[in-house]
Amino acid sequence: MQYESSSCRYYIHEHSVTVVEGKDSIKHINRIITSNITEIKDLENCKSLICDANGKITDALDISSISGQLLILGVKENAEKTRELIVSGTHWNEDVKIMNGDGALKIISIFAKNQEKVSKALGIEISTMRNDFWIIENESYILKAQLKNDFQVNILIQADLIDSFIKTVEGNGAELCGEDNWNIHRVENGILSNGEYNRGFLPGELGLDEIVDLKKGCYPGQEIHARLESRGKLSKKIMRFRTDSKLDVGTYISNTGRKVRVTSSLGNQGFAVISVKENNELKLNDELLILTEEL
Amino acid sequence: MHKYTIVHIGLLSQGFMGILGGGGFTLPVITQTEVVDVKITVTDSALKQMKNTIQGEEDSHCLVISAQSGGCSGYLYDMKIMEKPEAGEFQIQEFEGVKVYIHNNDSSLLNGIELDFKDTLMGGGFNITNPNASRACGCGQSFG
Repeated sequence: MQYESSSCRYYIHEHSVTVVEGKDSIKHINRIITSNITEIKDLENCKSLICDANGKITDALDISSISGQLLILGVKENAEKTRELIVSGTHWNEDVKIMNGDGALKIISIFAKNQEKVSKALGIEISTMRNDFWIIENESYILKAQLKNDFQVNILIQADLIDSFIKTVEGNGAELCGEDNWNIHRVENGILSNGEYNRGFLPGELGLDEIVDLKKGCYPGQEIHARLESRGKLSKKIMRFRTDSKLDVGTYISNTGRKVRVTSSLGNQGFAVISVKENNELKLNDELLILTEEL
Repeated sequence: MHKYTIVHIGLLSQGFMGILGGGGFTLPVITQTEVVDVKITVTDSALKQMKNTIQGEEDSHCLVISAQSGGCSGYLYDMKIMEKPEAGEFQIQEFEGVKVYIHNNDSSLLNGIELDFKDTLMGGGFNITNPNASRACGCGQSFG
């Protein structure tokens, strides 16, 4: 399954948006998350996680420093829980102000298999943009995403400016992308979603070890992550799969008797979290499941 | 463990993120509003240690016990002997002349705690037992 390879698409995300400001905002957020943002630079974007005391992921975040404020994008379904954590843990003697940006700020992704099409749709040259740093263009912020196959930029924009922005990118050849086509793009490029983040997995099981910093000091889940790292005993991993038959999201038992958790599915391909003991070919309900790549 | 009420109490008057909004773009501020009446207990050994530490400065100084996000279990205890802060947002309890301050924002997290002191070389010092905590870190500084 593929979306039209010659097209340039845009997709409007439904993230939770939280803005934190005050001189202690970085210190405050850094105590909660798995990565270390103490050295975050202006306009830099960092990926991070929030975990529970058992080390399991409860939210996945994109954290950006923008003009002295922290912009925190999270999984929409986890917005309330994450904000409760951020608000309830504010120290009485720290300068931290937390704001709700849901509905006021939007993220739009523009993507294509051809980099020039993305540049054309956006009206700026993206090949020279640095990954992980926003640039400011007119009344929006633009971030280049590093993907496996395709080219993508993410645009942060005020919700009330979105109509004029869309009119511009559509005029430049981009087409609106629905949920189905976004999921194709996502699976092809290894982009995880709430299907993965909200299943109680450990960071290592989703291939997210690189956004866990065990040297930064304590954060919720750190004890568990450190123990797993020192013992090297992760029991599950996430793999891309393909199969000839249709496989829905859900939990299955393989022919080896182990659980296979399909977390994202396009039907005959998707992501599955499996035991590290599984071979690259296994059977579910007599259908062959081929595990093609670890994420 | 406890429930927070989060409400939007107002709009930030400043512009947001430089050019992204310019003048007049505002976001609602989120604050924690649940405040409970705090009652804590202090063991004899903890009281003795508090009095030793604060001796002679009871009129100007107090013990502030607070909680903040972080630690292995979600929240970290913080204890400080410091000059008495503005009392407006604090609940104050007095133990034989030593005043203990707890901020309203921490009231639901810290209500009912017992403060103890262990005079041992290994693992000694102040120790908090918290009935609101469903779990605690091995070091005793973190709870959740």
